[in-house]
Amino acid sequence: MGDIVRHNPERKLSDAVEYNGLIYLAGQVAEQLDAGMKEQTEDVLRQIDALLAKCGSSKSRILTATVYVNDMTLKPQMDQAWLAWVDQANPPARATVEVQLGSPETLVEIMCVAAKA
Amino acid sequence: MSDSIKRHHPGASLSRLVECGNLVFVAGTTADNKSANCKAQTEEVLKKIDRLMDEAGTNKSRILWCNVWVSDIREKEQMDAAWQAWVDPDNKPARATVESRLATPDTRVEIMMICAK
Repeated sequence: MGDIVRHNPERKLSDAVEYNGLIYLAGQVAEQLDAGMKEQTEDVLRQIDALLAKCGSSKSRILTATVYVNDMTLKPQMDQAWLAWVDQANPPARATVEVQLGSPETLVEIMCVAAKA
Repeated sequence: MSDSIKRHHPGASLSRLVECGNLVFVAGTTADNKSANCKAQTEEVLKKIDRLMDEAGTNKSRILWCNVWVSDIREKEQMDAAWQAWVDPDNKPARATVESRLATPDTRVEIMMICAK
């Protein structure tokens, strides 16, 4: 399937999939799970930056993002990290909802679709 | 430019699958056998998705992006066991799994995806 490029195919999933000008990212969680919501979000956004760079894109090209938080009362902390990071000239469509994540210490997970550069 | 849109199994509220251009959108799919455990419900869901993708002329090796919702994140391992046995090892999609309250209390898993044709 040469028209589809899959990055970091791990045991269950790929971290990023490129097809027809779009980049689909898997849900990213922080590597440092003992950190607070703001730090975990910064960690996740760094990983998204790295994945987008690998696919020849960047945060200015994100189209849509879904942010999952495990506690909606911590959303302002997530937003603080997001606001410091997001390209103010090119903010994506975004939704934030509260769910239970893969482990109790996982506070945030972000999934997005970006256009290639 | 307007790619034609083809809707499969349109109901009052939604279509089970929608084709547009070279993309295929699969609606959130749940098992009919609600008395089954999470693994068996996942197996049923994946069989249903196989049939839907077949109708649209695509298959699991072409999945780009996948959302999995489980009603209890502690049952994620059961979902993963069914997923692992099913997914094309050479073509794994980007995926995220979170816990949400689903449409009925005995619905243990729901899966939604975007595929390439």
